Amino acid sequence: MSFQLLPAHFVMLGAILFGLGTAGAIMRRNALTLLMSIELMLNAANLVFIAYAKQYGDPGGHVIAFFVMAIAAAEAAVGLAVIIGVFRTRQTIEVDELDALRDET
Amino acid sequence: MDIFVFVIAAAALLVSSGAVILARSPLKSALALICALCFLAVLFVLLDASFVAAMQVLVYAGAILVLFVFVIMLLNLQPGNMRQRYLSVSKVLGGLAALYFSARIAEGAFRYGIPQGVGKPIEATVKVVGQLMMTQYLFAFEAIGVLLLVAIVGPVVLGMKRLQ
Repeated sequence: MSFQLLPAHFVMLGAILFGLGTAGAIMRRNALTLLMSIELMLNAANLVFIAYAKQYGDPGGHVIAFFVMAIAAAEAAVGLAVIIGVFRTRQTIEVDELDALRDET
Repeated sequence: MDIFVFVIAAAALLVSSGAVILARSPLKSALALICALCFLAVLFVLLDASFVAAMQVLVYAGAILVLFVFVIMLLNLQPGNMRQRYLSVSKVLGGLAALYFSARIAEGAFRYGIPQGVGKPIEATVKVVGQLMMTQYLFAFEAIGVLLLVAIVGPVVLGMKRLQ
């Protein structure tokens, strides 16, 4: 076999995935898409955790991956509740229009 | 064999992740994200993490994304209250910043200890992971439990009609 599959490839893929998530979180102005981009970033971190677990033969990385999943679930639940609350009062979820704290002077 | 699965799954993962951040409607983004999470589960299987892969499909694609799709349906966004796409300076700058940021992360990873070698096979069954979770990572496990409790109570409070 001329080309072997290394954990380094997965780390590289994780970096690209994290970059995509960051770009989405910065560039998209829809609060729902923004939350989904954050999910992408969390998943990139998960991928790197699993890759390093394989690298060092330590299943601890898998445990951390579960914790990341739990945090993602908590973040999604609270974030979506906030989005629903904002939509109820403002009728919009475009983050550009949520500028109540902006200095108008 | 592994390399073909990796290339196909990684390409599909990147395409569907791109669709997540480029799709016009949030519903299409959510569906693309479900695809991305399933392809990520394929990559987890390649890394000897079949339990994590199963949980990825069950918990992430099954529960969290269902919540997303449910909220998207609930909000029922009309084209009127979704702003049209436009390309602004801040978006271009933001994209460039994200590119630079991830390039620096990759550079740092490769400079300081990118893993070399093919890795070790690990026996990460439900039993092994569960025992580890209940012994070495017990405190983190309990803390996550408290966090999830807060995440249950919080949305209920936020979702109340009136906070008098």
